[in-house]
Amino acid sequence: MRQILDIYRKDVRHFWIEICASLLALSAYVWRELAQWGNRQAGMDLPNFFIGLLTALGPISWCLLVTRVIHDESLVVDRQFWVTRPYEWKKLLAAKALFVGSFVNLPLFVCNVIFLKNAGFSPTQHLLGLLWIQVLILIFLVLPVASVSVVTSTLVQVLLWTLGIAVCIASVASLSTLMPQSDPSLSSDNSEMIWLLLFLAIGLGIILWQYCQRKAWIPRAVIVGIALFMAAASLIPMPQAEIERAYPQLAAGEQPPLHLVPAPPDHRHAVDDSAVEPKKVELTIRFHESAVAKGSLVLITATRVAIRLPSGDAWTSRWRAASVEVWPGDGTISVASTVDKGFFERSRVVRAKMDITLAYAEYHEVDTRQITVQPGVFRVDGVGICWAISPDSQFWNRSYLDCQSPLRSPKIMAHFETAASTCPRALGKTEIAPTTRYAVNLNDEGASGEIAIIPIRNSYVSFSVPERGDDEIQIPGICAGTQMTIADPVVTRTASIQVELEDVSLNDYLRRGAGLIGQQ
Amino acid sequence: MSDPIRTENLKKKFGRLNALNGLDLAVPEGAIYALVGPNGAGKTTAIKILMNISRPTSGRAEVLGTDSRRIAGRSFCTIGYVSENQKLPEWMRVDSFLAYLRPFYPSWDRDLEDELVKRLDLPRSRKLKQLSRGMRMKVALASALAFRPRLIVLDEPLGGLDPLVRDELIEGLLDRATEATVFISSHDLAEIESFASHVGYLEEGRLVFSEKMGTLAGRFREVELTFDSPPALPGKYPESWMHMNSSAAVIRFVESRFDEPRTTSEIAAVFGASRNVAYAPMSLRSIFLAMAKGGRNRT
Repeated sequence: MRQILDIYRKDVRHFWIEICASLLALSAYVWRELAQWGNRQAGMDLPNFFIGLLTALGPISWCLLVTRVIHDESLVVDRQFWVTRPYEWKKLLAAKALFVGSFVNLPLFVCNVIFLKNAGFSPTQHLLGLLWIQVLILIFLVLPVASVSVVTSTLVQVLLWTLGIAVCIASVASLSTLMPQSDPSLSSDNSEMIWLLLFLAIGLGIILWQYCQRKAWIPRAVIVGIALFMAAASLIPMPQAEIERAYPQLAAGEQPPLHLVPAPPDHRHAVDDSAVEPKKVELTIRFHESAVAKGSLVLITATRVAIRLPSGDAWTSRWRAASVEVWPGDGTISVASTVDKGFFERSRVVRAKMDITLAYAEYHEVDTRQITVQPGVFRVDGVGICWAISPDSQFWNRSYLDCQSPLRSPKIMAHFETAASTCPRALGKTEIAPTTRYAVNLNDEGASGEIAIIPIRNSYVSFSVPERGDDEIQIPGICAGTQMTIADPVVTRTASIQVELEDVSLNDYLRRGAGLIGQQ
Repeated sequence: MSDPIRTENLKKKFGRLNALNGLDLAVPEGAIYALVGPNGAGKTTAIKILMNISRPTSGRAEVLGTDSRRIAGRSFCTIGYVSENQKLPEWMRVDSFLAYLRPFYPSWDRDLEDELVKRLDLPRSRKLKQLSRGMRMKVALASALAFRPRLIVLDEPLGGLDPLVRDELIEGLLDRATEATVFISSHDLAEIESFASHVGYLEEGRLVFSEKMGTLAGRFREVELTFDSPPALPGKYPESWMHMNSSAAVIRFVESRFDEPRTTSEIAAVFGASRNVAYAPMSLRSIFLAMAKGGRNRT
């Protein structure tokens, strides 16, 4: 222990300027953010450049500290005096870990606690979450920087290695855009956890190996290998089978959670001939939907279109990610698909058959609770501190619930009856028939999204607009006193359904205008 | 007692280059052993392997009874190592550097540290980066001696130093030599000669000879033969004769296995009668040069 403390004290003495600079940068960031909070999002008169700089300085200074403290007993060159002194590698490593803990983890923890307290949350109730942030900062910042630092001896080398890895990944990944593959956003959720564990194991392995063996060529080869592997992974097309396994077809006799009837093409907007991608055109297919059960949401997450021509010519799209919310009640939805321009030109004037496959996730409200919207900010159990953005004279139909949540943005489902709205009636506006307005927040930030100096997540749910904007119609919103229901959304099923469109002209479905994905 | 340093058939390859080519070395306890040899002979490579800074390709090295590949951490509590290439923490002051190292060594002798600082005239309050190269070597030496190591390993410590600093370093070293074995590689043959008890000559990664300094000095002689008329150089002569050359009526060579009666009879057998035979002792430098230039056959 004595040796650990001796090395630690030496490092603190050596890097006191860097330490002070890091703490100063962090303090300035905290001060500015808190001042901004005090002004209630009014913002301070700082140019955007300085705000960005202030935000980046803390993490940059941490990277610098990690690199500098490791290089002080460089593990690469053999001319370092410490190599022939009674240093024990485990104690040297422990001293470095103590340094990182003191000047990276601890300041981050203190910042997290300050922000939590200022936002009105109790840090002691979120200790596990705060510790998880510490683990994530180790995995995503400290380990990668330390892994490169243990195989280099100067800051310039670290920068060159980092640049090299980034260029390698970026250049190989850019090739992936030239390859046909399904939308990467459809990849399964557990891939992030696999990467996380892989990073952790490899990072720790490299660091332990270097401190124990000091043979840099092996970890260098591993780092290059990992960079190439990550780059190559982006080139591998996602197997269609994986999506089909995640979203199986409904068995015969099974009732889908929604009923879809093809709707006539929308001719209200001018034809937009600009292709989405070169040599592609986009089709928009509309459906009338109904039969979604109360307390449910059907989220269409991906679509695939197969087109068959009378000549036997056929074309099948790849899976394409979508995010179409289908709520209880009748409505119209649109899904989009891209088609090769050549195929489209050959088939636009003939009658074709279209098979549209929709992959969906069915959500149900769980743990529902009734809340009454309060004036100003109010607490919502399981969510955090919220405030309503109510309709006003400028935006008659808007209705949001803005929330600040500790550590991560919670998934929320919410609804209210327009008949229960307490918002003032607008003069000269016609009020729609009583209905239900729904909102959902399914944001999944993933593990890396949770690392932050400010452990407060801002989120909002925007309530659905049952009819298309007609300036003369008022759709009641949420105001102080409005009763609403909040619930946790839980996926009860993922599956896919197929809808057939017989005897259609592709030309009718050519993309028109923008903003076609979503409930209308 | 076993030798503090022992190597057996030690080999080190860098690609196709054989830096060490079967080095067999034994440094006896209490010796001041000087490892000499031309540049690129493998001296530094050998020392790096002994200190486990690099690994041998094959063969074995033992330092204070421990396999050199296991020399690490606490092993250095009894080994003092100084190298001209060593990178010291230059941001530290002399006194903070010594204070930092103190707790690493259970046997650190604070009085000896003070004595070394005084004897080597080290400026305690100066940063290492503000010191000259010679001064930094003296600091490194003081930090390697103050814990009374059993073995002191010095890699080219005297190169490029002015005579005064060199003397101070050697004096500092000799003070401690009574209680430690010293292994030193150096080009400074004149200085080595003044204090080394043993010498080993390394060439192309192989130990050409290794013996006590007295024995070495005793077996090398410059031989000068004077004839009445210019003689012809002989076609055959003993393998221990090196660098034979003639000038007018004089023939000179280096005898590397000098034993006066035997050498005299061998001269008589090769040259017959000569007017005069003179044997002159050689300095280590002369021996080194004779070896480095390469004899026809070396002993």
